[in-house]
Amino acid sequence: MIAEALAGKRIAITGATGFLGTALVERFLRGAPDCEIVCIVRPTRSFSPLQRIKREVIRNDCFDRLRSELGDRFDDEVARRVQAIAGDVSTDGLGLDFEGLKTLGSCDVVIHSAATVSFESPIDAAININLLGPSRVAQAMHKAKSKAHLVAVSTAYVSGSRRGDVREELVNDAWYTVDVDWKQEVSVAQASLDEAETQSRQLEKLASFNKQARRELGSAGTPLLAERAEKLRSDWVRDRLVQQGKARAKSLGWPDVYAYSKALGEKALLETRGDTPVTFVRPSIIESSLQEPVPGWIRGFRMAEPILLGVGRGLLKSFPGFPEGALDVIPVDKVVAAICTVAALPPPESPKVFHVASGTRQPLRYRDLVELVTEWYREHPLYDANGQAIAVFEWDYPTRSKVERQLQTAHRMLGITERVLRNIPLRRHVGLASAKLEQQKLTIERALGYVEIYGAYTESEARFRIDNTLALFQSLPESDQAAFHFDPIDINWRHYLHDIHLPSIIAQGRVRTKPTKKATVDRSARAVKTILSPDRQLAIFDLEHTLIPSTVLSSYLWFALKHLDTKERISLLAKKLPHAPALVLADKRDRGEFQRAFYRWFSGARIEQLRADSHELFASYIMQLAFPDGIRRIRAHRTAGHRTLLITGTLDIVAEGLRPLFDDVVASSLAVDHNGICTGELAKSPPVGEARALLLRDYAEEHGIDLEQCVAYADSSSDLPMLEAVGHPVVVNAEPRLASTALRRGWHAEHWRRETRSFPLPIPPRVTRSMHV
Amino acid sequence: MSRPGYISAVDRNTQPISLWRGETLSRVTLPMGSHVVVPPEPQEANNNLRDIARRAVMEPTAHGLLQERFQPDTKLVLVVRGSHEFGYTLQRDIRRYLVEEVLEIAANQGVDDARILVARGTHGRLDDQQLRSMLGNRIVDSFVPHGLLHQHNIDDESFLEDVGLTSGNFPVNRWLSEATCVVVVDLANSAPGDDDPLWGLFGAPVYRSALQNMLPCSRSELAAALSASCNAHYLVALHNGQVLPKPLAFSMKRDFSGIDTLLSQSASALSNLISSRLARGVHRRLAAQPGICAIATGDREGVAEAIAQHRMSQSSVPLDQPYDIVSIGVSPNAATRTGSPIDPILAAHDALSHAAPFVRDGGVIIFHHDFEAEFDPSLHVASADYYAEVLRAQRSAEEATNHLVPHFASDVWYRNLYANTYAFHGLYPLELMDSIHTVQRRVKQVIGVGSNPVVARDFGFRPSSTLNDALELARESLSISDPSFLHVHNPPSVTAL
Repeated sequence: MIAEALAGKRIAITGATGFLGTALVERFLRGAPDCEIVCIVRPTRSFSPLQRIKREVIRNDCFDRLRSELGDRFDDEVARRVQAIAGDVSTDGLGLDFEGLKTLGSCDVVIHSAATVSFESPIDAAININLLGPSRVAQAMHKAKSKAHLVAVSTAYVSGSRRGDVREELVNDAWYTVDVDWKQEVSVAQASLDEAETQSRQLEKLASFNKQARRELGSAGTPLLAERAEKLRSDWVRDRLVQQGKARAKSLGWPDVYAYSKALGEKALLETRGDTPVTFVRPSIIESSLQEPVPGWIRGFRMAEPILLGVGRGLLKSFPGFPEGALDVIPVDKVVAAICTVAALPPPESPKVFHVASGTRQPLRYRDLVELVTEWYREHPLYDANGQAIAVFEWDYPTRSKVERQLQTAHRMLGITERVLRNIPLRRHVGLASAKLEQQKLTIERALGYVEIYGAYTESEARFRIDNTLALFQSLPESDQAAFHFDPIDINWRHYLHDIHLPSIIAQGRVRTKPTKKATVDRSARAVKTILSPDRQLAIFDLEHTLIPSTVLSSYLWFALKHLDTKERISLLAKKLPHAPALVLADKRDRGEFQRAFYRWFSGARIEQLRADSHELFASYIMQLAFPDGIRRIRAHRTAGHRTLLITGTLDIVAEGLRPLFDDVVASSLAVDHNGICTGELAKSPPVGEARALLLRDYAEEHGIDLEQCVAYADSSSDLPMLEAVGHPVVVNAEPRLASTALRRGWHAEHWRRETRSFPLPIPPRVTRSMHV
Repeated sequence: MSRPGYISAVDRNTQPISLWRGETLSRVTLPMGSHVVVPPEPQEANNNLRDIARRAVMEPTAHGLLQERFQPDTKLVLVVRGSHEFGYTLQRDIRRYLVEEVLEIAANQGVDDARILVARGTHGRLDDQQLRSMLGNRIVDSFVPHGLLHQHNIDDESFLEDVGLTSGNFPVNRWLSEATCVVVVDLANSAPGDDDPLWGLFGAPVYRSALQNMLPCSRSELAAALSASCNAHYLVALHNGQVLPKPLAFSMKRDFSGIDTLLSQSASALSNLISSRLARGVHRRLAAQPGICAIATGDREGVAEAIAQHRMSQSSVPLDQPYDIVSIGVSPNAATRTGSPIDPILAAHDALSHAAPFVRDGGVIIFHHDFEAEFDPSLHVASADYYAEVLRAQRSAEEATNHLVPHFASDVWYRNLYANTYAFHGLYPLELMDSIHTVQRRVKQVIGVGSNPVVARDFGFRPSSTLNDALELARESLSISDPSFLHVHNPPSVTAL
């Protein structure tokens, strides 16, 4: 009956590129062979609506079954029955052009499933899409003079954080609905956005963003710092609007901004629908399919997956929830079947509501869920990076506040440790440890987010009644009941979780399911292979801490002490060393500023003497410090036929010994007067920070090199502009800030060691005559 | 007359012996029934180096007095060895006195064109301190600033000239062909195997050919031909094998007194407490002073024969038949510069070359060394790369010969470091590995006691944690239930007679 009812009909769908939308398109194509689909899709800069549908929907494995059933006819069938028009639910009238309106007007059913489903959307975005979206669809239908049946997909949680039975009734009629003027909510949300934008530009705020950017990136150069500060500002605005959304939703009794905006969206639609027949379909928590198109089909990670994976990964050692409470989960194919059935119904005279939920018919107790999940993980453990099986913890069903307190304490402690590590002037292990701490902090933040957002759902005591839905199901002939089965009574939770859902999300979760460590080694070897590929054209190396652990300070000391006797050496050290802390701080602030200040110490030195001494400096000091792996890598690049370039803020006389390894060397050089005496100034700006990126671009242009085919090696956040400029950035012995950045961006990181464990001091032997023989 | 060396059987009364594992000392109890080499007593030495040098220079030879070779227009080139065979700095170096005496005689004869040539072959340049230690401040300050002291560079073609020794291209340092009088001043090692210092003055192609077995004659014959072509006069002193500094000399003794035993126990205990790095720091502060027990002057053959005779009485031990298993430590002066790490290549070379004369073909050598892959980053860059890129990567010996010799010989980076820093030439690790492979091919197995297992396996050796385990492995490998076992002291260097 359903297939027949839909035959010859045109069904418009918004949100077709989403999880539910994709399943809907597939089900209509497969289950109702004579209907047509019109997808209302927002075009992107690169792809037209139809291209998006083909790329993001039709290519999805959801269609594998249909593809195999139709064989060669699949493409023709899709082309014949699927149409895409440009439309955007965040724009009034959906932004439809004349043709679009005409197409919409020709549709018999409009299914509005587009939504921002994040529980952490900023209030303005949630209101714009979830609240105003349905009304805009209705408005567009009016404009298109459409009399079609509007099926609005909402959520069962529009009932908010209420306890007890929730009947299938309109929000306006429900006892739980707080009387709120949705229009005022819209205007206040817009005002909140304006206010947040204004506040974020206040002097103190801008100063704090700048400070934080510098703390994160160090002396990375003005453009990057500015970019980071602006990102921090926009993040702040977003975060504020997210917080506002949460607060407003909670103040009105909804668990989050999603449920709040969906509820008000229903309300707005009821007010603005005019004579458009409307049916609300309210699913609970939608998860992977039970049967259709194949068991376990899911698109992207939904609400429960991060938590379920978090348990397996040992990230979540407990999660708040009432053991006796029911977590209302519904497989996607049940929801799709219900919507198809509703779409096949004649347009209702008055708005109708259908819950698609499992809680009353086949409840999944929270305790059962936890036990089933832990049981499964014990049989199918996930493995950590060392190949060790991750133990799943016994849950003790703590309260939400207790879990939040524990996580917040851990977060604070990690933050303190991370700050301490960042200020230790050591690299390698410290940098890595700091970066890992930051990752752990992010993990805890994520866990905290799960608890805050999803805790409301695991602690929900609402029971969504499905009287209308069941009545509808029971009114169907047996053949339709078999084909479009949306009664949750047939869900066996053990079978669903153990045999369908968990295997499906594990397969998609990029987690280790075998006790092997090889992947890491392979990844590193693969990365090196990619770096040394013949396709690369240029390898750029920073010097200090990348190829040698020395600093400009130690080179200076070596030069300065070289011609002094013991007494003079002690005197010089006593004079200079008190300046060291200030220089270290200057280095953290701005690398260029530091170098300019520091190189003033060379004032009065004879450049020829420095040049003569530099041979000895290189032979007896620099070579002792060099990282052999670094030297080997340069040589490997040369063997592979790549150009090699050294860019360093170190003095050219110090880097001179390494020149045979490089095609070109760009280094700082001291200015000298006509007598060959150093003035204490630099001959030109030091190649540090953003100057390196600019220099690199010029160099690439001059030599016809594609920067995407370049590899850059560096250790410090001041090298970020250079690393960002190339296609293959590699961080070496990174300082904590850069290590964190690299870890976040997935850049290849290496740790190069010195050949010996002894660390020579920058003190030359006192016999100084006739060194270079 | 000093007492000769002999081989003693280990019995109940034999005390644990002191054993150098590179920088550190340990004590090992040898199994009953095994044998141990008791080195010859050091020969009496004359410590008046100035006197020895003066007398040697004035000594008449078959070709007359040395001073008779000097005329006012003589172009004199003094050749000194630039290799790092002593490890420790010498407190007083006989070569300095010999060179000073030769220069004085030459000056007295009106010679004003005198130069010093450091024959270093594939070894790194001597640094200022090493030069001053060998030749003294006076000579260094007089010759270096005027470019009259040159450290031979085997790659510097502008300084090489083919002197037409035999068929083929054998470039040598051009100062030799320009000289009208060549005097070779050398301090010979107590054990045989030293090349003629002139061997260190050829160009890189000669060393490459030697490694690839493509020389038309032996190294010794080539050096002899060069010596003959420039009519070189030799002044060679022989030291008495006491190569360790005085505070460590107890470890080389053949008869241990109570104090020596106490010192040995203390040094062994201390070695267990301190790191190799700290131990190297201690060695760096020590200087050796081997006594001079003989000196020979004249032409190459005569001098070589005289030195060989002295050596035999000083450092050889009679051996009835080679042993199935030979155990040996690694001398602390295996380092090419005190204070620098004794890397696995140096350690294996030191142990295997000293153990080889005592072990039978198809036998087993057991050496004692940590065998950590730690290389001196300024001296042994090529060795570190050889280990990482050849041994770690398990590339074959054939490849080493066919592909790696040209690669390591011509590598621009190694050549640059060899020319401008103190780094050894790219061919140096290949020379050592060639010698290691020669011994390795002769024996059935090499076992490293206390060696890093990964590094040991990279060399094709077997690691073992104790001497007893190593002996068990050796027995298994030889399939003999009661193999003969000998432990060889190192240092002093001894050889089988």
